[in-house]
Amino acid sequence: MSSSSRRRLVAGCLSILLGLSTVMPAAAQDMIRFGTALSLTGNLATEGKLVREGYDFFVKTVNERGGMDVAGKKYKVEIVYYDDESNVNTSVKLYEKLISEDKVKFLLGPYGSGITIAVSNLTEQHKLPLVIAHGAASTIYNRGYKYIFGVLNSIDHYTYNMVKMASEQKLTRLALLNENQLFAQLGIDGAARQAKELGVEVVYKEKYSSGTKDLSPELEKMKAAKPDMIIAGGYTNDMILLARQISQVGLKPKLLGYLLGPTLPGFVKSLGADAELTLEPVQWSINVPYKDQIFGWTARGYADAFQKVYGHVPDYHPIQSTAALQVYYNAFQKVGGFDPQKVRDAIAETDIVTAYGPIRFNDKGQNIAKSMSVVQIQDGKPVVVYPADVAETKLKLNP
Amino acid sequence: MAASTLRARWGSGPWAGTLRSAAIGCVLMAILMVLPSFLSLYWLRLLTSVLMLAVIAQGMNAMAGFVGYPAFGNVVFFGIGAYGTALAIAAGFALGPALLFGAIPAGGLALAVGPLLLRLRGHYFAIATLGLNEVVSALAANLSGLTGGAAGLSLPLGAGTAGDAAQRAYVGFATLFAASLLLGIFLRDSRFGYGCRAIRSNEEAAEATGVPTLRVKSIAWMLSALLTAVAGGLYARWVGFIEPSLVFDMAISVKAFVMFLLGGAGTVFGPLIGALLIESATTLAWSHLLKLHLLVLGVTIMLVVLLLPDGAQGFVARHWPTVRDRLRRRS
Amino acid sequence: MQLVAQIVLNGVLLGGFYACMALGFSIVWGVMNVVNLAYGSMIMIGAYVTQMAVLQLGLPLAAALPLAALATFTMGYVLQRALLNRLAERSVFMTLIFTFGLNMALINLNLILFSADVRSLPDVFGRASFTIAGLSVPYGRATIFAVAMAMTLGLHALLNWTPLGNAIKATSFDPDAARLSGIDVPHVYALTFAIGGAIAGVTGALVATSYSFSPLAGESYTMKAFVVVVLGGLGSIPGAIIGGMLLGIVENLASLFLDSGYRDAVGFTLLLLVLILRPRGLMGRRFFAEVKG
Repeated sequence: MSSSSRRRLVAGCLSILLGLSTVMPAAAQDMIRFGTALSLTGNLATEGKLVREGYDFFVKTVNERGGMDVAGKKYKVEIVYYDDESNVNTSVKLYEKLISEDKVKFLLGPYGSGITIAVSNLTEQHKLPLVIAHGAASTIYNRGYKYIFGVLNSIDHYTYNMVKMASEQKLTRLALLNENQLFAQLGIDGAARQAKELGVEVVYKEKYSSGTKDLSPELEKMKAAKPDMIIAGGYTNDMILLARQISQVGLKPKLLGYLLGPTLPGFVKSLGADAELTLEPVQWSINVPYKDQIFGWTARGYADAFQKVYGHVPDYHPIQSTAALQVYYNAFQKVGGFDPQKVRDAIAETDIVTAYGPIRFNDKGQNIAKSMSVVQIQDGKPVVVYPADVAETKLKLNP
Repeated sequence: MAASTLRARWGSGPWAGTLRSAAIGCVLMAILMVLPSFLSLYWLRLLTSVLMLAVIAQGMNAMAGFVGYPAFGNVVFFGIGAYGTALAIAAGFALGPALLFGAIPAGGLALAVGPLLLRLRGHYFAIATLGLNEVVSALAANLSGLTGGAAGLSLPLGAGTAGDAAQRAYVGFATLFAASLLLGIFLRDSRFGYGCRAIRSNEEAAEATGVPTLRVKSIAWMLSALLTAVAGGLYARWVGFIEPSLVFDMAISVKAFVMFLLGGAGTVFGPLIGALLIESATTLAWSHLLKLHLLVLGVTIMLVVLLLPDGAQGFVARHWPTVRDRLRRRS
Repeated sequence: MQLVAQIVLNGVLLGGFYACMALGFSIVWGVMNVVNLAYGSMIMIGAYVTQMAVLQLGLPLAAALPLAALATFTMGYVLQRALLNRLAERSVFMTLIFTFGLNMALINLNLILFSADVRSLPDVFGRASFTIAGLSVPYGRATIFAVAMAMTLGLHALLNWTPLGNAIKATSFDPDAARLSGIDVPHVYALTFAIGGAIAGVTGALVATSYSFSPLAGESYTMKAFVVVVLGGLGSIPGAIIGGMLLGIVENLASLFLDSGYRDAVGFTLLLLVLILRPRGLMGRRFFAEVKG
C-alpha cells in the first residue's frame, strides 16, 4: 500500500465525514417513483431476487405501454431500491432515506416479518402508505395501524388448507415442529389452533433452536407419538436437514407439510426422493382462475410473459410484488392523482381482481379476498393439489 | 488532537488532561445540540445511530480498552436493557423509569457473574461473555410467557409525528453519549481509573500494590453494563420492535469492538471516532455499491487492521509531527 | 431406555463431526493465536468446491473431497503468507477483527459467485442404515464419523511423527527460538493455517453431502467450533474429540429431556461451567495463547 493510496483512503473518509454524498437526481416530471429496501445480500437474498423481479416486471410492462394511465395522462414508473442486507436497523434507515432524502411517497414493504414490523413503525409515523407484498406475520397487522396493507395472506392462513386436507383424509394425529423464530412460530401456532377447530389431534408440538445440526432427538420423540401427518416450519437449511432425518429415523407420515421450502430453488434438487410428496402452502400458483383486470392476463399469461423476460417460471414471489404495485396503480386511477392521504384512502377501498388473485382489505389492512393453495412435489415437480377448483392433480398419500 | 500531545500536556498539571477532554466534550455537545436543525430526518437518524454505536463502543472500551478485559459478549446487556425497558413500557411505565428496568438487571448481572468470570483472562474471558450472551438470549427466546419469545415484542407508537419521534430518540442518545464521555474521562483520570490501568498493564503487580483488582474489575464491568443497557432501552423505544435475534446479536458487539479499536483503545473519544468512520463507510457503501457493500466493508476492515494498527488516533499521532513540519516549512 | 441410548449414540456421531470441524479451528488458534472467524466461510468454500467437482466435473465424492481440501489448503497458505503473517506480532484481537473483515468479504464473494440459494448434494447414502444392538445408525452419519476420526488420527500422526509436526510444535511454543534454530517461521505458520484450511475443506465436503450450505450458513459452524475448542482445550487434538462428543451428547440429551429450544443454551451453559471450573478446557495444556495472555 503506497502512501498516495493511503492518502486517498484518508481523503475518502474525510469526504464522507463532511457529508459530501451524492444526492439522487431529482425526479423527472411525469415520473412516479416507488421505493423499497430488499435483501439483495444477506440470508434472504434468494427470495430478495425473486421479489425484485416482480417489481421490475411491473415497471417494464407499464413503461412499455407508455406508462401508468392516471387522469388521462401517462406517467413512467421508477423504483428506488436499496439493499437492507436482511438487517432490521439497515432497513429502517433506508426507508427513512427513501422518505426524507429521495422524497418517495409510495413505499413497498421489505421482505421478512420482523423487518416489516420495524419499518411499518416508521412509515406509520410519517403517515405514508406501505403496501406489503412479503410480510406475512399476523403481528404486523394487529396493531391498529392505518397505513399498512398486505396483499398476501397472513401467516395464520398458511396451514389452514393443509390441516383441512388432513381432516378430509381422515388423518387424525398431527405433529408440529418449528424453528424458534418469528415466522415459523406464528405459523405453527396457527396450525395448532386450526387443528383444534377442525378436530385433528395435535400429538406432538415443539420448537428447536435455529441452526441445529441434529434434529434426531425431536424426531425420535415425534416418532413415539405416532403421527400420521407432520407440519414443520423453519428456514430452508433446517428443513433440508429435517427432511433427511425424517427418513433416517424411520418416520413415515402419510402427509408431510412445510411452511416454506419445497418450492424454493435447491430443495428438490438437494433432497431427491426425500422431497417427494411433501406439501407447501403457496400464495399463488399458475392454475389460479383469475383474469387480471388491469393487464388482462391470466395467471398463466403472466407466467409466460414473465418467463420470456427472466428465463424462469415465476413462483408466487414475483407476482405478489407485481400485485402490490397494481394496488397502487388502481388507487392512483381512482384518485386521479398522487396525494398520499387520498391514495391511502383509495387503497383501503381496493376491490380488484388481479392474476395473483382478488384483493380487498379489512380494516387491519389484510387481504381477505384471496385464499391459498397447496402444492405437492410429485415426480420432482410442484403441482397444485388443493383446493379442488385449482388442483392440477390429485393429492397422493405416502404409503 | 494527537494523543502524544495530549499525553505531553498531562505532564503540565494533574487536571490539565481532564479539563482539556471536558472542554472538547462541551464543544462536541454544543455542536450536537445545534446540528439537528440542519439535518434531514435521514441524516438525523444516521447521527443517532452513530451516537448509539459510540455509546456501545464506549461500553466495550470501558472493559476492553481501559481494564484490558475483552468483554466480547457485552451485547447481552444491550439485549437485557432492551427487553427490560420494553416490558416496562408495555406495562405502562414512562420511558425514564422504564430504562431502570433494563439497567438494573443488567448492572446486577454484571456484578453477580463478574466475580466468577473476571478470574478468566484474555480469550477465555471473551468467550465466557459470549457464552453468557447465548444463554441469556436463549432464555429470552424461550420464556415466551414473559418476553413473547421468538414472536418478539412490539411497542405502541409514541405520540406525535415522525419528526418528533426522531428528535426524542436523538436527544436520548445524545444525553447518553455525554454520559459515556464522562465515563471515559472518569476511567482515564480518576483514582479508580488508575486502578483499571494498573490491572491492564500487569494484574499481579496491581494486586501486589494494593489495588482490589476483583472489585475494580467488577465495578468497571457494571458501569459498562449500565451504559450498554440504557442504550438497549433507548433502542427498543426508538425502533418499537425487538426480538431476541435482533438485540442479542453478536454482530453489535463485534461492530463495537471494531469501532473502539479503530478509534483508539483506552481513549475517551476513540469510540466516537470509530463509530463515525465505520458508519460513514457503511452508509457510503450502501448507497453506491449495491451487492458489494459487504465486500467493501470487509476489505476496509482488513486494510484498517493492516495499515492503522493503533487506531485512528494513533495513526494521527504518528504522522502528525511529519505533516506539521512539512506545513511549517511551506509557510 | 432404548430411546435414550439411541439419542446418546446420535450424539456421539454428531460429536465426531463437531470434533472434525473444530480441529482446523483449534490448530490455527493454538499454534498461531489466530481466532479465525472466517473458518465457517472456508467450510462453505469446501462445500462449493465439492459440489462443483461432483455436479460439473462428474467426479465421485471420494475424489471431490481431496480436491476441496486442496482448494482450501491453498487458500489458507496464501492468506497466512500474504496477509496474516504481517499481523503475527499484533494482539490477538487485531487478527480477530481482521478475520471478521475477511469473513465479510468471503461471504460477499460467495454470494456473487454462487447466489444465496441453499444447496446440498443429493445424499449418496440416502435412507439406508444398519443396526447395532438394536440401535440404528444411518450410513451417512457413520461415514462422516469415520472420516472425522480418520482425519483426527491423521493430524495427530502429522503433529507427532513428522519433521513438519515438530517444526509446528516448536514454533508454537516459542517462535523466536524456532527462528534461531533455523525454522522458516512464516512458512511454518502458513502451512499450519493451510492444514487448518484443508480440514475446513474436508468438513465442507461432509457438509455438502449431509447438510446444506449457503454463503451465510458458515457462521453457525464457526460458533460450534468455538465452543468445542474451548470445551476441549486449545490446540489439543484429544480435547477436540472429547469436547465435540461431550457437546454432541449434551445437546442431544437436552433436546430430548428439556424443550428443544434450550439446546444451544445448554451447550453454552456447559461452556461457562467448564470455563469457570477448568479455564484451560478439559484437556488443555499450557500453550502459546496462554503464555501470551
